[in-house]
Amino acid sequence: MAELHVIGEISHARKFPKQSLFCKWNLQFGNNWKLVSGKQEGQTHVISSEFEDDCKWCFPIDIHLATKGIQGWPKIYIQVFHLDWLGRSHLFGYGFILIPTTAGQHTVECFTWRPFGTLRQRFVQFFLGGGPQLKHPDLIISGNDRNKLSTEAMGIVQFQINVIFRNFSKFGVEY
Amino acid sequence: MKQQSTVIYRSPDKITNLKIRIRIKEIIGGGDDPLEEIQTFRWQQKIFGQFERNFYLDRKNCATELEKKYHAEICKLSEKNNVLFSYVNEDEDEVDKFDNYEIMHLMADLGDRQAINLCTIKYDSVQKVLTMLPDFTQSEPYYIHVEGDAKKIYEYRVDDVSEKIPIDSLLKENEILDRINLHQLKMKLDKGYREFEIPPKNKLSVYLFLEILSARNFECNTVYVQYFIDLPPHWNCKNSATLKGCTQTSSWLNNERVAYFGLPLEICLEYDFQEIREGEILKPPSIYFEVVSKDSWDRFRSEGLAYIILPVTQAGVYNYELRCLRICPDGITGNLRRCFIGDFSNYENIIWASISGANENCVNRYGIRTEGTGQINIRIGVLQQSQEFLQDFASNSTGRRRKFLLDKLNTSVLIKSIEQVVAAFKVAKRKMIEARKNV
Repeated sequence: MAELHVIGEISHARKFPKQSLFCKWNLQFGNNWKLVSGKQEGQTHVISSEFEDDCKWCFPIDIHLATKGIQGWPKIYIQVFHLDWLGRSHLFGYGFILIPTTAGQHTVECFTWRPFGTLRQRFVQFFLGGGPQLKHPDLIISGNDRNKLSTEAMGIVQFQINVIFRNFSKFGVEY
Repeated sequence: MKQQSTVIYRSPDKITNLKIRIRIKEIIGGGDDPLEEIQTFRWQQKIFGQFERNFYLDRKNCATELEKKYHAEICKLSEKNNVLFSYVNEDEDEVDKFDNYEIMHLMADLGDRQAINLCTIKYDSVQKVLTMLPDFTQSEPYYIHVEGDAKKIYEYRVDDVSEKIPIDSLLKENEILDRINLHQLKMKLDKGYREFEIPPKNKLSVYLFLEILSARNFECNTVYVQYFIDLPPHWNCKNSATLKGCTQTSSWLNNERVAYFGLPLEICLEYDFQEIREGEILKPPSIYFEVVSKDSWDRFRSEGLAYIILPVTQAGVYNYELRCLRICPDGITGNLRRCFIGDFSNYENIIWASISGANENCVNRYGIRTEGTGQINIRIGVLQQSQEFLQDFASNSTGRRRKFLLDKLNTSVLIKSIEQVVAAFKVAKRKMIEARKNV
């Protein structure tokens, strides 16, 4: 059995059209994997920067995983929301990143997108906010007719991730 | 006077072990015989003050159960003239009582019917949190100023005099706790996870973690990317559905002309190196991308082709920025067709884009007009797994040298050939036995 430590942070968000952003995240992995310790999901605070475009979260992640196979390598799935002045939260993007497969420190950029509605939906969205959301965002990874889903590019969420491998070499894995 | 502040202690031990000693001393205004008193309080220990003593001694004042209890206790006590006393949880008004809290006030009766609060302690039995105001006295004692006929100043100290665990017991306890924690971690790790999936002998597993990140500078603002992996001989993929696929359709609205996909894919390939002959070079698989644009009338047009040879020979994380080209349609009809109907997959075989499509001595692309378009960003993580590396790891576990994949795999050519001979022998033997049976 091999172990993987994922230590790092959700560093910041940039290029989003508005500020006051927060992010929900969770770690997804296959059947081979098991969480030994650490929090598998979380939510950052709401942030708006006054002087620059970046929204800094610096939200810590510290996860210890054990696995009996490489398949189902862990991914982080995030949802970015915008909190408006009325206290309503609007979906601003879905995103996935794969935990890097080499040991060491990595700066990983997560490109986020959100569903792009019909003309009518966009008209309503312009005045009222909100907009279409996915019922099962996980299907994006597993499904195959993804091109039928229209999305629009939103922003980039940056992660700093340190990965520590343990006992992988013992099972003939080169990383 | 020093600012007093609330402190919070967390203690898994029993609160009944807590003992607090108060030492009060009159420093100014005491005359020849200054007041000095020391009192040790256990948790929720009731010590009566002067006023309470007189009050509860009179039977007429005692109505409730608690008051009667206090009356009985005071009657038993001998006459004493103490300054320090306590209010315990039972003395609290019903309103102030919290569900999980127990509270205790340590007080001083400094004459003139002035009961002064020296220290308040609150304990949450669920969270095991002890809250104190003020904290135990560090170096400077606390002062009390009493304004009256004559100005009086008192100093007092709050000390923790709980019986400490002997140092060897503490060490032992820590050791046991460490062992329990270690054991729990081990249990978690061990639970059905002793084994690890290892590919069969003479097979190399290559795990590709492909991420299609973004596409930029394409003509049309709504695009998706489809990919296809071409496997050369000796390679195979258990889940062949993962060998081709596409991203969601993404559009950009900002001026940067970048479409975001951020799609992670996991592809597991297997290479059979039993068949490899000495001196033969491993043929890596290639991946082909096609960027397709979709307009508002759902017309699809091919916007770009790109390919790379997958970096299967060395594990790591690879970032690529691939420049795309598209094949221009032939003549005016082709262009009109592209404009009005759309052209999608307008090539015979996408393998054309790479060198492996050429089967002659030279790669000849004469007469094909192409146009450079945008770029796509790809990240590929590669992990390799093989039993060969297992032996490699065992043989020099201290300093693992980085060897090239072929070197690692080729070390076992002799072993492989012996294994082949043994396997062939087994087959022959079985056939012989079967043949004999029929005779």
